Amino acid sequence: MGHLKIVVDHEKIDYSGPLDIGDLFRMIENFLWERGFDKKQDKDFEQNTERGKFIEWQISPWKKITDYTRYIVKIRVLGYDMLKSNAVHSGKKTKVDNGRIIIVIDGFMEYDYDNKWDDVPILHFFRTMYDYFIFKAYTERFEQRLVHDVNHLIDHIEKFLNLYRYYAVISKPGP
Amino acid sequence: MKIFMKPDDFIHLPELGTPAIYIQYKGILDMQDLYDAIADFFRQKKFKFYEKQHRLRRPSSFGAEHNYIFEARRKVEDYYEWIVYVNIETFDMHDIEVVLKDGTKKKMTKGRIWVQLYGNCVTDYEKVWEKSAFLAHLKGFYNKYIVKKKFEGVWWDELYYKIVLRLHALIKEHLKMVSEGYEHRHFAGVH
Repeated sequence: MGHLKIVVDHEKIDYSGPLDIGDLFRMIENFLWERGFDKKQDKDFEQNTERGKFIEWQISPWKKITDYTRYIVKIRVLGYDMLKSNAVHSGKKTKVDNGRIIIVIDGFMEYDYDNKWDDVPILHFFRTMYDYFIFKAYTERFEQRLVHDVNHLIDHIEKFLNLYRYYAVISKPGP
Repeated sequence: MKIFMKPDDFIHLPELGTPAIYIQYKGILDMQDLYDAIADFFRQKKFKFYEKQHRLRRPSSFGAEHNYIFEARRKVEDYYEWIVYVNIETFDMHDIEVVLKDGTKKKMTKGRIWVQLYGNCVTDYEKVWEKSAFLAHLKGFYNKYIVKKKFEGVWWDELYYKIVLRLHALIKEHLKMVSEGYEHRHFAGVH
């Protein structure tokens, strides 16, 4: 395994209330798909309990940005006591899920994902020197873009859940 | 430098596997329907479907335990094939009678199910290019320099997105899980 570095550590959203959990998953998948991430589903668990459904859903999509570096975003959603309840949406009666969800997001950078630079200690040393000193400006720029992507995703989720938001994604118009 | 080299030492990228996907579900399900859906999916996708193992045990009074090991193979071209592995284990399974929305009664199963799915894209499945060291070197060169992009970008991608993830979505749909749905269903093509 290459060098895995945590760039975004455990960003957490805790929400209780009505939501459509299927739509939430679709929105997250769609967001990452649009940004060129490949899908990796780690967990898809659902248990019907007496108090409602317990859900554990985890994906860790990845995106190769160069032939040396890739992004990995790990998203874990836990749903507790999810029950269906009636709601009126745009004048129509619908059923929505109701319960508590916890969303945890981590962002990783993986350097040397093909393990070409960790066969012998000297190569390992060169790789570290390269990442931290020679290629530092690019490394930091890649990390900054990963943080931006994760913040953008969190902003989307908060928008979906209708929460107060603090982050505004401002893109500079091109020349 | 090794003196005695095996074909594995110089054949580059003989196969490429997909990540394993797991589903766990506890509740009411229709096992027969799920079984039919999986077999039908592979039939439609032109796979040869093998049931490698079916084990039934009754370890306790809570219910039966089933273990299914499925393997599906499709020789896509002369040079590569797709293999998909499906492992299903069920626990505490017992039959119950369910009243459907239209008032009819149906026998279904209640219990826990665990599903593991993964695929593998294998090149040179007939081992034609491993008969001699020279041929094996040629295969290594071919895989490493000529066909690598296609292997990683097309063959593997189609196996992962059109077969493994689609089957994953199908199983969730038949279990009626809340996370059902497949965002990449319009990934490429119509098949």
